[in-house]
Amino acid sequence: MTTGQIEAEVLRAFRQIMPRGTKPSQVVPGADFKSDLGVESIGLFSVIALIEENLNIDLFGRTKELAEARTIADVVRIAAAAGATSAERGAT
Amino acid sequence: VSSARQAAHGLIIDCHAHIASCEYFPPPFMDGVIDNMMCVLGSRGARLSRRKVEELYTSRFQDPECDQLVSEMDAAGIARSVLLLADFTFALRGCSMTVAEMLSKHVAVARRHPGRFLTFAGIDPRWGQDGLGLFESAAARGEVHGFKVYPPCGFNASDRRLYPFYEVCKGHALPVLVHVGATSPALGFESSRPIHLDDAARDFPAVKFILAHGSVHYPDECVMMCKFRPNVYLDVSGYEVEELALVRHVLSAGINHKVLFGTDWPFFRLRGTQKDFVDLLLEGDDVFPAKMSVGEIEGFFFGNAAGLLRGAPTADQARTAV
Repeated sequence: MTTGQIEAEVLRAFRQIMPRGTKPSQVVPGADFKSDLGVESIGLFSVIALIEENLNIDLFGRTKELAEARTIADVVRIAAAAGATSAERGAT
Repeated sequence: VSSARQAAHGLIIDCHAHIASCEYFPPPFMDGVIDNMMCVLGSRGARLSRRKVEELYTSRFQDPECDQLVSEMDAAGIARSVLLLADFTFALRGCSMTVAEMLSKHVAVARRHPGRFLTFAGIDPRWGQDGLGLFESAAARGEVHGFKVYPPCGFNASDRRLYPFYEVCKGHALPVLVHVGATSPALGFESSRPIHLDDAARDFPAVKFILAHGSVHYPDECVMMCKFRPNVYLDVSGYEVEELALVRHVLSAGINHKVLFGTDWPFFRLRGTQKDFVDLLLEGDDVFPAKMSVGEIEGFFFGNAAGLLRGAPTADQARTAV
C-alpha cells in the first residue's frame, strides 16, 4: 500500500469521527487534531480502530508515538511504519 | 481574548495536578477508567482491544519525576502546580506503596523542581494516629502545603475522623481540597456530593476548603456552597473534556474571587498538553463573561490560589519562574 493510500484512509477515519459541523477542508494532513479539531481520547481510540480495520495493520506497540502525535500527518507516518512492519511479518 | 491572555501571561497556578505515574493509581482504579472507555468505544462500534486502549492510556502516566510536567508547565506559562496525593489504601487492592512512601516521593519531586510544586497530602483517616502523625510532622516541616480529601474512598468530607486533620490544617493555615463527583467506577460516588462538606466548613471557619471539579460535578451545589460559606472555594479541573459553558456558568455566579484554575493533569493528556488546555480557556468563545474584569481573570489563574496557598509565589516570582 502506498503512502498516498494510507493518507487517504487515515483522513477518512478522522472524517468519520468528527462532529457533523466539521468541514472536510478542516481535516487535512497538517491539521493538529488535538487543538484544531478537538479530538479527545475516545476519538483517538476510534480513529485507531478504524485505521487498523481499514488498513489491516496492527498499531499495538506504537501507542507512545500515537499518544504523542499532534497532526494527522503524524498518524499517517505511524500507520505507514506499522504497515511496513506488518508487511515484513507477512500480515494479511 | 487578548486582555485575558495578558492577564494570564506567566501568572498561572494549576491548583489540581497529580504525579503522572501508575504507581499512585492501583489497578482497580485504572481498570474502572478503561471499563468506561471500552463502554463508549463499544457503543460507537469501534473494535479496539482492551489491551491496546490500556496501553495507550497508561502511556501518558509515565512521568514519575514530573520532568515532562515541568516542561509542559513552562510551555503553558504555569508557574506552579499543586500535586495532589490520593490515598486508596483502604478502598482498593493493589496499592504498591504505603501512604508514607507516596508522600515521601511527592516531597522528593518537589525538591527536584524547586519552586514549581506544592504538595497536598491525601491520607485516609482510617490510618488513625499513624496517618495523623505523618501529616502533622510533614506540615511542621513545611513539606506539605495542604490536605487532600478523597470521599470516593468511603467517607464524606464532614466525617468526624477527618476533624483532627482539619485541626492540623487550622494550626498551620493549610487549605483542604475535597474531590467532588464521580470518578473511577471502582469507587462509590455518593459520598462525593459538595453538600457533605457543609458541617466541616461550618465547624472549621478558619480553614479554606476547595471543591475540586466544581464546574464539572454538581456545579450549582458547588456555587451555592461558595456563595454562602465564606471559606469554600472551587476549582474548574476537568473542564478540558466538558462544555466550556460550564466554566462560564461558575464565572458568572458572583463568586469569581473563589474560582481557581486547575487541570487534573495527567488524566486528559491524550486530549492535549497543558498549553492546549490554557489556550482552550483563553481562546474559547466567551469563556470569560464580559463583565469579568482583568483583575478577576488574574485572580482565577493566579491570585485566588496564591491567597490560599502558603508558599505560593508572588506575582513577580511567578513571572520569573516560567
